[in-house]
Amino acid sequence: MILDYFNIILNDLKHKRLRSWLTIIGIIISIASIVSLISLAQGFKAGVNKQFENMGSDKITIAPKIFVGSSPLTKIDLEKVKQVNGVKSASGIIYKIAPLTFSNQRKYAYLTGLPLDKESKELFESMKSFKIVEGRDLKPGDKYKILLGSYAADGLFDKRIKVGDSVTLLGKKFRVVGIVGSFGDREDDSAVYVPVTIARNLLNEPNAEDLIFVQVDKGSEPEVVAKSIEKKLDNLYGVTDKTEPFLVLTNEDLSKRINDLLIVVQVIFLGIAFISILVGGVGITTTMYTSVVEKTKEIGIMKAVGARNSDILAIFLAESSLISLIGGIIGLGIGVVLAKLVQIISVRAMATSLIQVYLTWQLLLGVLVFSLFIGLLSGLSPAIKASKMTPVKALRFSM
Amino acid sequence: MSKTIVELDNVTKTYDLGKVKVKALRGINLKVKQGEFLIIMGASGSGKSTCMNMIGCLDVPTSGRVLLDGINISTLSESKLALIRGRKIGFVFQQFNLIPSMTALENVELPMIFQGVDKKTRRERATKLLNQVGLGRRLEHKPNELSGGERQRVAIARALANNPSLILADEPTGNLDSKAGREVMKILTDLHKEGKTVVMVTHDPSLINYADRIVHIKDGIILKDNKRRK
Ligand SMILES: Nc1ncnc2c1ncn2[C@@H]1O[C@H](COP(=O)(O)OP(=O)(O)OP(=O)(O)O)[C@@H](O)[C@H]1O
Ligand SMILES: [Mg+2]
Repeated sequence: MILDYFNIILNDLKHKRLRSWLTIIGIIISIASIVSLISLAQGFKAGVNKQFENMGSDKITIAPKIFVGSSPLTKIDLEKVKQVNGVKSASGIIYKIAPLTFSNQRKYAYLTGLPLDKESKELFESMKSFKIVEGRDLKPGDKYKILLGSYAADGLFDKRIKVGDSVTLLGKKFRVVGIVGSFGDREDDSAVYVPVTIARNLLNEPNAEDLIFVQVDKGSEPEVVAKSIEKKLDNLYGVTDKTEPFLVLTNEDLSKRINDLLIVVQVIFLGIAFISILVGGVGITTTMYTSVVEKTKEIGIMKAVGARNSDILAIFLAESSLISLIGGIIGLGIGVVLAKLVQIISVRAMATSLIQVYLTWQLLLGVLVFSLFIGLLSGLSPAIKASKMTPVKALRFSM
Repeated sequence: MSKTIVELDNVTKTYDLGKVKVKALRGINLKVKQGEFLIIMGASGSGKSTCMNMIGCLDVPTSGRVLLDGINISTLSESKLALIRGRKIGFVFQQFNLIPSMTALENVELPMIFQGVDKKTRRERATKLLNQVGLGRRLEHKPNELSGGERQRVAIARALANNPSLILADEPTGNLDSKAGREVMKILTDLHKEGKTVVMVTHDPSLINYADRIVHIKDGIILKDNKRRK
């Protein structure tokens, strides 16, 4: 029976091809945007969470609330943090975006000022799989020596930078002593590392700490230690929770914060997608109303030859859901391609591999069911109108 | 005395056009007997089509009763009525009323779709009916690829799709030239001979010879109701 309805409709869709396609395009656009936005947002979320997993949960990060201008954190803060109960070790780094010049090309890299003492080294090595693949590591006593992330060395500039080459950072010449193995992430791989004291001098911020990392003692709760650190710093500055210029975050906090942010982003994406599907749905409704008016006489004929109200309702609903489903299937394909394109472009242009397409069968199936539902919903009122026509009136209708 | 298929019992129909009320039917009493060839005659606007729509259960009366096989149709649900219409009654209209996007075959299959007849049976029966009206070579033609006479023959084939006992034809020759009109009348006469009840509306007096009963309508009431002896 359903198949018979589709016979009737397909015949009809062929007849008014252009208008059907315009309506279908409306659905294609909204479904494509839904698919690409959601798959990218989910991919981003998965990427971020994976990064946090790598870091371990017994670390605390102290960061400025706003990452612009000079950091509110200083060496004094670092000393205070070290005194807090449960803190095994603590170390601060300089972290800024800075211009890097090589063979007359100027690019931006993440300048990382690393403390070179043994304690700090242990701390950083436990956070990241920091591996020198060429040359050597920075060592105490190094001055204008630099380590390059794998992408900073090979990819950022037209010419590959080798150990022994010279690069210019913040107007000073540095000698490349080593290349760091890839972390699998463009942002991290675009980092360059110099001794922290040199970085402070060049930036003219002799006491600054951009980020402070804390290793929590075995047996201490990261949450509790983080609270104590926060209290200590608050007392030091005479500030409260609201006015403090820094954040004390355990890794769990950090990943929760970013996930919360991602939820907001997803809600906004979904909002946009919702508006576009609304527009697409209104398009279907309009098309179906026009179709009902055009086919008034045919409705009369069908009723005269035995069609029940429910038959007419089903025919028009089948037509609107078919339009929407075709749009959904094509939109799904275009959405996936679009998301892949964004991924490729973001890797090339923005040097981050955090934006990854993440497709689940739930998303694919959900989108198809959703477009079917939209078709039914937007076709409902025209279909009811069609089914309620009285046969005699419909037969007398002429355009 | 043969059985009554449809009975109009003091049927009136008033169209309310807001300012004016048009009394299309003003108390019609009519019994359509099984096996009759009944012609309804009358001037334009006299209420012939309205009367026909009542007989065919396409419309409901303003007052009075329409009895189909003795059942008052106003007591039937919409879907029940549609079912009866599709199974027991076949319509033929002056303007053919075929569905333009469908082929002759598909048009004839349509009434069977709504009765849940399977595809294969539908195809076979539609092909047979189109052969019967002489259109065996026009199965895949769309209505606009057919002549007026051919279209009306498709419409007759469609009216026969569910093998109804009652054929209602509202000026079936009205849009045809005399040759095509004669062909259509020949088919209707053959159907009558096979035992179908035929009710036909016309205002062409030359067609009265086909009928065995003629009802004259004027201004929504029956003037004369004559049996003819052939
Ligand atoms: N749906 C309607 N709305 C308003 N008035 C109608 C409607 N249907 C019929 N009428 C009016 O009812 C009267 C009878 O109409 P009907 O169609 O039954 O006449 P008819 O005898 O079939 O005429 P014709 O020979 O021209 O087909 C006419 O005055 C017509 O204008
Ligand atoms: Mg008429």
